[in-house]
Amino acid sequence: MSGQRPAPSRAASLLVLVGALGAWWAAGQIRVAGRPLVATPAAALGALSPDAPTLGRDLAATAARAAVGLAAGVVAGLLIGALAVVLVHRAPVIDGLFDFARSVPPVVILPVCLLAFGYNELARIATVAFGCVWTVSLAIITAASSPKSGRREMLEVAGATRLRALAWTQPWESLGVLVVGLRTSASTAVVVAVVTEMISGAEHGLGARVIAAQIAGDTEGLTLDVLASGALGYLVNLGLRGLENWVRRLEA
Amino acid sequence: MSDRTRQESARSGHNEIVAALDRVSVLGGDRPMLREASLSLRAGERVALLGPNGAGKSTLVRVLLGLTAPAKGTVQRAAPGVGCVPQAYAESLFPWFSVLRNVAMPLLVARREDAYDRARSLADRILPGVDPGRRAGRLSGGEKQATALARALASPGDLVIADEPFSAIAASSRERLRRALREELGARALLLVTHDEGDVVDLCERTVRVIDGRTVEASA
Repeated sequence: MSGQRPAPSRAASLLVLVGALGAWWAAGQIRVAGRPLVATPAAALGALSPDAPTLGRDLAATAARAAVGLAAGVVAGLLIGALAVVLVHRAPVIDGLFDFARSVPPVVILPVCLLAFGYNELARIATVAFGCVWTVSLAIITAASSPKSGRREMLEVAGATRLRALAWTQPWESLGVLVVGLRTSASTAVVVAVVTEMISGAEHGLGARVIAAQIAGDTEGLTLDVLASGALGYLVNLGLRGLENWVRRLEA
Repeated sequence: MSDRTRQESARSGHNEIVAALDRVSVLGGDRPMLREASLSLRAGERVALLGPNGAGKSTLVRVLLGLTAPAKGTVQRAAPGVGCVPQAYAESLFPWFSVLRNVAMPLLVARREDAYDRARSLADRILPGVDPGRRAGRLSGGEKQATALARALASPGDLVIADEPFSAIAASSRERLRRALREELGARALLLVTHDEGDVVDLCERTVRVIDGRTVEASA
């Protein structure tokens, strides 16, 4: 066995895409409760034309909700993480508490937020923010508790104060961990935003749209909405992966 | 005091101790890494630290730099501004900064106005053919080690400690870099950790061996 990976091939990728479309089409032929499992690719594409304007509006509403929730979660996560960094050496239990908080599914916090803030946008955004805050805080704790780097040692040997050496190195050295935390949080934000819209309802948003299509028995529209939700998550992930790769190249 | 005056003063016998260890022991897990090791470095003195792998040379250097605390013994650390080429030289560079900024770093720490001028002159000498504006992360292993050496020589203190500073340097460039180290060192003391007899002959006047965590004086 040579152990070498086969070279990437456009033909193989094209074949996989055609196979995936074929599997999708086949799934569209299966009827269980009198309706197809999903709309076929052609039917979903056909639904795109009349739905495009409202789909764009709903996609934008979900993206905005996820972005605002993510931003609020990141700001709160930075503040809570910074506070935890100061306290974690004296009270290591903080680390465990954060891990526990991160394990609470963010969507179960929605009813809490609905009761606390009422049936409004604030409750939805607070739920999204809750989904992001612990990951960001843990990223801050991880970054701050990394062992003293060779760079920091070099600066201290050169005569820099500990604080100055930390200020010159820590932001750069933490960048990788923070970007990974941000990427995880962003994916969570999209998922939580959609589910929150589905559960609590919203005037606009992909989650609300999915529920409306389900109630109307609109398989084509539902399939399109599922694809749009996937596309939103994929694009966010792709953008942040680009940022992560850039940081990795910078650190190399 | 100018570099020349300092050098003459240092070499004329006015040799105050710039850094020293006295009967220092360091524990590392199940066995001691240093056992009552002693070493003193006088101003302008160039000392080679020899010994087999794992004997405790790098630990001794870390103690001298104040990066590892001894379990026993006393340490007289050098004044701030020590130049250092660590064994893990690549991890000591700032990959996101330029070569020039990396070399200037000790002078920037010391808030010297001529930081970049001095760094440029050292970079030109030690890294000829390397763009000083190039990001340090983009350098080859040998270029990174040469950058760490240039940075150590830019340091404003009285002591340069170099832990195998030529280990990644191509044989064809070693002689040039040895000469640069010898000349740019000026009046500063040098502690050179090496396995290369050529380094000892070219650069050092005194040799200390580290054997199983103990220091043994030997003539160069």
